Order: sequence, then C-alpha cells, then structure tokens
Amino acid sequence: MYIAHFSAFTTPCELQFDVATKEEGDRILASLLTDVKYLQKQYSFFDVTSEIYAINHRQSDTFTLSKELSVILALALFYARLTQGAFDIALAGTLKQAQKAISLHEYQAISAKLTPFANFTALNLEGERLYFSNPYTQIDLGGIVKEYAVDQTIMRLQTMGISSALVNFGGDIAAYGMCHDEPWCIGIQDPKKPDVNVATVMLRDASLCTSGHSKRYTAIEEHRFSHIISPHSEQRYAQMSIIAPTTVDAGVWSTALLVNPTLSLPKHMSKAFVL
Amino acid sequence: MTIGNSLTSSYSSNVHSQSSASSMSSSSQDFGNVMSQMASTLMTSMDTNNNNSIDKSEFQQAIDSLSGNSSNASTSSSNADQIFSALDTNKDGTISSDELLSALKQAQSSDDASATQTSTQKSIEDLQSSLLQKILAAYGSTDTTTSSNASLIA
Repeated sequence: MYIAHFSAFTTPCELQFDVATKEEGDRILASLLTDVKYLQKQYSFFDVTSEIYAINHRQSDTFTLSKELSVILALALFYARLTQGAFDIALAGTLKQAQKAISLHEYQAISAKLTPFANFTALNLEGERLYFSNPYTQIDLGGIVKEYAVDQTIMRLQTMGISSALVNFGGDIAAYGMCHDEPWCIGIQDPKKPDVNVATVMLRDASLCTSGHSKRYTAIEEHRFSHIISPHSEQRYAQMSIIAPTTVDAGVWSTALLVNPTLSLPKHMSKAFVL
Repeated sequence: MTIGNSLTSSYSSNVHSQSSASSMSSSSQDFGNVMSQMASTLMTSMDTNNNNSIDKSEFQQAIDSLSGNSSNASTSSSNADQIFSALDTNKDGTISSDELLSALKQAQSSDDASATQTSTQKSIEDLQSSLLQKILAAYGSTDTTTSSNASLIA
C-alpha cells in the first residue's frame, strides 16, 4: 500500500492506494497533486488569481464562468435548494467578509449590513453565465470544493486501474475496495480529545464526511466564530458525520444538518455519528 | 478524524515488475532514432555543398524552394533570417546537425505539452460528468446521461 501525507485546502491530507511499485506510486501521486493544487488555487476565496476572487471582485453583475465552475456552481445551487438554504455558498461567501473585522462591534456591524445579501437567491445561473442581483453578494466554495476534489481524486485513481484506495482531505473521506482484505476502518475523533475515537466506521465504496464547529474558527475579542457560517445562533450539535455514495453529498449534508438539524436526510445517506 | 490501517509503513510491496518502465524506455529510444533520421534527411537535402552544415545561403535556398519563391523578396528573406538565427544556437553562422536535431525535439515537446493540456481538460470534464451522474442517480434522477448543469435544476 502506497501512503502519502501532504497539506491542501488548509488541512492535512492523506492518500493510500494499492500499486505494484513505489515508483508507480510516486508517479500517480505527482499527477494527483497537480490536479488537487489546481482545484485549490482555482476555487480559492482568498487567492487573488482564482476564478472565485475574480467573481467576488467583479466590475459588473454578470460574469462568464469556466465550464467546470459552472457545473460546480450548479451543483452548489442544487444543494442550496435541497437543504432550504442550510448549505449556501452565498451565505458563507458574503458573511465571510465580516471575519476581517478587528473588533466584535465592527463584526456585528458588517454582518448586519451584509445579511440581506447573504443568500443564494441573489444568484442566477444560466449555462455558463452567472448573474448577481446586487454588488455585495459573494460566493465561497469552501464547503464543497474540497469534497469535490476528494471525489475527483478517487475517480482518477479508479480510471488508472487502482483496485483499492482511500482519500482523506481533512476529514472528508472516500474509500473504495478493501484494505488488507477488510473494509477501510475509519475512526471518528473526539473533538475534545484528539487521541480518542468516539466511533469507528467500516467504509467501502462510499464516503464519510464530518463537519464540526470546534476545529476551525475565527476569534474576535475572545468570541469564536465557527468556519461554518450559519444564520442560526443556536448550535444543537457540535459534530456531524454522514456516510454517502459521494463525498460531495456527504460533505454538503454534514454541514447542512449542523446548521439546520430539523432537515430530513435523504434516504441514500446515513448518519454515522452525531455529537 | 483518524484512519485505521494508516499507521503502517509508507510503502510495502512484494511485486517487482518493471515491465512498464522498460517499455517506456524502449519507446523513448525509438522516438529518438526517428528524430535523428529526420534531422539527417533535412541536413542532406539542405546541405548542397556537403560540408555537414547549413549556411545562410543554403538555408535561404531551402526556404525559397519550400515556399515556391525563387526571388529574394524582402519579407521572405527576413523570415528566413529570423528562423536561421533561432536555429543557429551557437551563433557560428551555420546550422549543424546537432542544432537541427535539438530544434526538432524542442518542437515535438511543445506539441506534446499542448496535447497533454487538451487531454487534461477532457479528463476533467469526463470525471465531472461521471460525478454528476453518480450524484443525480442517488437522488433518483431519471436523466443521468448528461453532464449539463441544466439537469441539476430542481
């Protein structure tokens, strides 16, 4: 089994796959990393050369997208409707601007000003043309592009003829085939005790994503703001783990259920663990 | 999140097949031979005084012959000068067989890079289409044959 660790999308990542030689593994890894770095750069919220940055700093309310981004956005809007706005790239992108505030007062003032525009209904996608209803709405693909990258990576490995693989980008995990003649065994970490697993999941030809408020956040005047931006102040769950056929599906729904626990999970998915 | 089975050595294998590496090396060698033959043929056709190098007048004759132009038009001459200068990498006033071979290889690698970029774009679109089909199938969509984002509109 070939194993590689690296950083991408600001999180630790891991790849495991079955190959005959280390040289073959090195070659495959180099190819996969090229694609991962491309996705990370192209759809970054902060990178000034990214397509997302260009959209968010647009000069007009209409923007022509690359074909790949138009499909990712269509997917994101599809999930926004399905989750009744609990997963919303416009909410995340627009209110993320408030995180640059240097005081709690400023944060609250920016949030209040932008909230009316922080909604996916401000976007209208027609083919490869994206229309904005106002100049303030911004988008952030942070909640979907990492999961998309995991799915793309696992599919690349499959097309290369790899019979068994695991892709883990910061807790967004896809596994196919077997590991030493058994399904892949995944431990779900206790957010308060990193050395302790609160549950283990056996995964084969499926994805597991865990979303939580505790790992990544912005602190302003000792007040923590989760990286999962939500219109609701109440946080019923601290962590949500979902199993689904694709990582995009698992990632979107683990986030959506964390934001709005009253949503019904589609039947083709299951909750692996809730904290 | 931690992963079981991952706290092992970074790589282990009992297989020592090198067949793909061997075939790659052989293929690369064949390609090199073809390039050498092309350079040799070009050299023979242009080197009219048989001194194993091409001077500027021989090169201009070859360009005129290829373009069907027997007169020394200024634009044709200017283009030929630029190409000659680019091929004459050591600036000794002649193009050697090595310089010709190097230029051919460089042109080929440029074509390869362009082909790779096109192939990568196609690969991304294919994977994206497959992923969409898989997602839509899970939601019970009857139309999973298209990668068009129109199929995602509820």
